[in-house]
Amino acid sequence: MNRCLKDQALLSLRDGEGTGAERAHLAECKACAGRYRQLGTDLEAIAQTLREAPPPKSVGHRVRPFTIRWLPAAVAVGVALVLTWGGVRLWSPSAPAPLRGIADEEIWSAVEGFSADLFMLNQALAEELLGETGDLNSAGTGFDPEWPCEWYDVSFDGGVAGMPLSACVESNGDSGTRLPKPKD
Amino acid sequence: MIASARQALMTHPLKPLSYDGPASYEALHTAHYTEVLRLCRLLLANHHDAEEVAQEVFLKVYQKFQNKNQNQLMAWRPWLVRVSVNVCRDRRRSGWWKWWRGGSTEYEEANYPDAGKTPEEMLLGRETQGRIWRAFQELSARQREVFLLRYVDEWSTEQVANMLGISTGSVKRYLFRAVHHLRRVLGDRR
Repeated sequence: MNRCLKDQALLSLRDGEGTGAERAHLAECKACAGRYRQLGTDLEAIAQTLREAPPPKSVGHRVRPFTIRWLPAAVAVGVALVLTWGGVRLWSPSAPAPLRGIADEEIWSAVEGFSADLFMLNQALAEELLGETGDLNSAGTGFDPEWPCEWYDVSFDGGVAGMPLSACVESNGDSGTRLPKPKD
Repeated sequence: MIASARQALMTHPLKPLSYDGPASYEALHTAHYTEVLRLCRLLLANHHDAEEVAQEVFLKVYQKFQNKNQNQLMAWRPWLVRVSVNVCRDRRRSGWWKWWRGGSTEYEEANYPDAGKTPEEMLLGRETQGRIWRAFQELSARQREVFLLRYVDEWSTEQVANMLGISTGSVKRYLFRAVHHLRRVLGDRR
């Protein structure tokens, strides 16, 4: 064995272990023999110090500065606050983005006006049907079988879905609107 | 409570038992208390904690005496070392708040044997010993246990492995790391 021994091998040899080749190298190599002796001296000095002397006052516990002691707690609290804030922001219902910045009165007046027109139209249609057929059950027969019950589906442009309002409703003076005559 | 229990033990001698150690609790206490206290002090680096732990260990000794089979042989020294190491480990775990708050600063002054040395040698010796202590405190708990049992108390590697409940390979690894760290500190001095 030509290569010098590692520290771990020297420690094993000191503990009475190690291979024959390592022992032979230790006997031949002056450098390794010197390291081996130094290892023994160091271990003995360390063991003697620990065996004899109590821990000196200045060595024992180091009193950590206030900031270092509480730094982990401060970081933990900060992370908890950020997570809580993020959770609240994520889960709380918020107003739709398009409505923000627009005057509330203008929006609500438009919505209410549209609803009122819609109900007036529906009511007029219902009265017209009842006046012609006498009851709601037979009112369904007033529609074209291929176009059932679509009079409720009033689109924003004032017509019925798939058909303009002028085509399905005729002006009738004070009575308002009515549906086209049923086919014979 | 532990102090009162210990007082009660000391005033009520136990019957001699047939085992490989001292013939009474008092004899066992006299023979091993200093050794247990030193081991606890080295592991905990706190004299007051070490005293409490040593008393707790001997309370367990008393309980062991009461429960022990009269005809059973028992090797008390390894048992004491094992129990001391375990109680010290429990104390370290339970003392996290004390550690968090900065630990105790109540340490006795170093009392190194300085007879026959020049003031310069004394100063150098104290500095070296302080560095050794500081480096020893930087070791992990397991490295400290293994190093103390192997090189200070001079148990064999197999005995250390048995007492700590780990393999001999693990003991060697812990030893090598501990020795490497401690020697590096001494090497810086040289």
